[in-house]
Amino acid sequence: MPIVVEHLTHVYQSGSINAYTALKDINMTIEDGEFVGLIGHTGSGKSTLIQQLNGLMQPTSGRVTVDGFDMNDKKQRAGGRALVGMVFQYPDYQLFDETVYRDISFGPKNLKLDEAEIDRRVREAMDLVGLDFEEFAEKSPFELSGGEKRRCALAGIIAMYPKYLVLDEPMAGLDPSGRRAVLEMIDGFRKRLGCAVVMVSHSMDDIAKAADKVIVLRGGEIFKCGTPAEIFSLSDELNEMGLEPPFAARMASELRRRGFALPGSIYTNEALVEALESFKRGDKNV
Amino acid sequence: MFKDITLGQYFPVDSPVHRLDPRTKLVLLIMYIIAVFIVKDICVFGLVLAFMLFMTIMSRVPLSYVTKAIKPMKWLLPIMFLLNLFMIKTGTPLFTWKFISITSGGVRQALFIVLRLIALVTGASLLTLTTTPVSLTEGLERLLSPLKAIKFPVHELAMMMTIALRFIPTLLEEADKIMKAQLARGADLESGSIFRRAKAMLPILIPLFVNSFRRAEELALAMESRCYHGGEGRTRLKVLKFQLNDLWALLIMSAFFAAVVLIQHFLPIDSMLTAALKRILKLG
Repeated sequence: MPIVVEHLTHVYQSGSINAYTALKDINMTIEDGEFVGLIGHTGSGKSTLIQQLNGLMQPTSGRVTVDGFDMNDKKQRAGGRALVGMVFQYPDYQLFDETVYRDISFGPKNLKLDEAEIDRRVREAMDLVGLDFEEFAEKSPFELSGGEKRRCALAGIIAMYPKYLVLDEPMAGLDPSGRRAVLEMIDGFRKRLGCAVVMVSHSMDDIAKAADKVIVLRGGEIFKCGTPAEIFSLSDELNEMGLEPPFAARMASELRRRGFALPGSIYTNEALVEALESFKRGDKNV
Repeated sequence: MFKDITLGQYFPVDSPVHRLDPRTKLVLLIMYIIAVFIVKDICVFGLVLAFMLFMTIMSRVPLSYVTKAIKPMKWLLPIMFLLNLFMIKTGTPLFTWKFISITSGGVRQALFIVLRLIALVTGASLLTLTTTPVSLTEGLERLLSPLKAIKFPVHELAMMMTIALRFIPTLLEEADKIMKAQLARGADLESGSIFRRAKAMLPILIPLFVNSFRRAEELALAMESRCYHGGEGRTRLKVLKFQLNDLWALLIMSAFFAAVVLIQHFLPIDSMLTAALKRILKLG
């Protein structure tokens, strides 16, 4: 069963002079096992939207249902929230316990699992995010480096076995190798747990690599929802919104502008290389 | 979650009151508070409330914003009223039933306590609604500057106040985010005994403290790297200046103050009214 968002509108401080409409009539569905990329300019309502997905915020009007749990209903909210794992941008907001082990086990403990199961899940989560158990389990989370903190925060959510994993800019502030590592990790738990992923990111390259479906938010409304190929062929519109299309898409459109007949659906480096190679072979109609 | 706190919230409009020098506004508030305590007649209190209303209209802040400050006292006010009503035994008894008795002095005192609290709180909230925290602390620093003569760290105190005020919204926002992060991990903050709930706050308090200490250190570094070394020889971007407006405000306030004092001392309206009332009752 999917997450269904129907006619969702969110107004901050509604009724006061500072009232501000962050989201307007949003309709979308997140299917089981899907990888959804959520993009949009700063202030387009991405953060507000993902907080609605697990009931941390309630809509001013409209409805979110997670596998049939109505998130507007206080009694059903906890049931839906247990299915949606949410990783915030900064790990400093969630790490608190004395050791990495205890911090990761905080979520599973709240799910009322037994000790043996908790232990198994913590070990598995640490393995999935690449934190060595022997080395890190007894360390204080405050002694970790920035990248390690992020892995630890991720592990704390993965250990809850979410059916939907929501990530708010999981790669912000990481270097290229760190970004790749996080993307690989996300791929790893998708294979292991079969969970759906909703990822907010400013990096179109990362979204192009990973997503099955891309949602573009503009000024609190869904501007466009489609496959990466559909979205990234709109490079002019994306540029206008202050979003930079992936490198491969920009390269392809620049080449097209200079008279090379490349297809419009190129948005990953692999596809670009393939197209260029077939060009080199002299095949004029790729 | 914490968006509804009004205390210390600036209401950004342009008005004669907003334009006043913060020092003037502080002096006005002090005079107003003294006036509130001088008043001993219910009728004269009408004058105080009328003055408050006048200032509110001048400031262009909606009355509902000013009176919002009373909301947190919705329990305190009735309790104070009832305590005074039943505990004070001066004046003539009005009503007696077994051990409970209400006297005219009690009624007076109870009404006064409530009116005074309302007058004080609305006055103070009008100040914070019309003055930004930064200019408020600046005004305070300038008003207290004579204390430097006795080595009182006026500048440091003002800087600490500025920083504290500046970071209240940041801390609230951060507490909100941390709370959400832990709720998303299944933290249960709302059920169980008081001890359980206190323990459940730990996952929120620890990150909040850790982040605050880190931020304080970063802020100190950022200030030092811009050559901050305390108040010695420090000049201001915007120097406070008394203007004609301020003179008018002080004159109006003085007139109001004088009126309160004079009426209070030479025109005992309350006793005149009671005497008149008694005469009418006797005639009837």
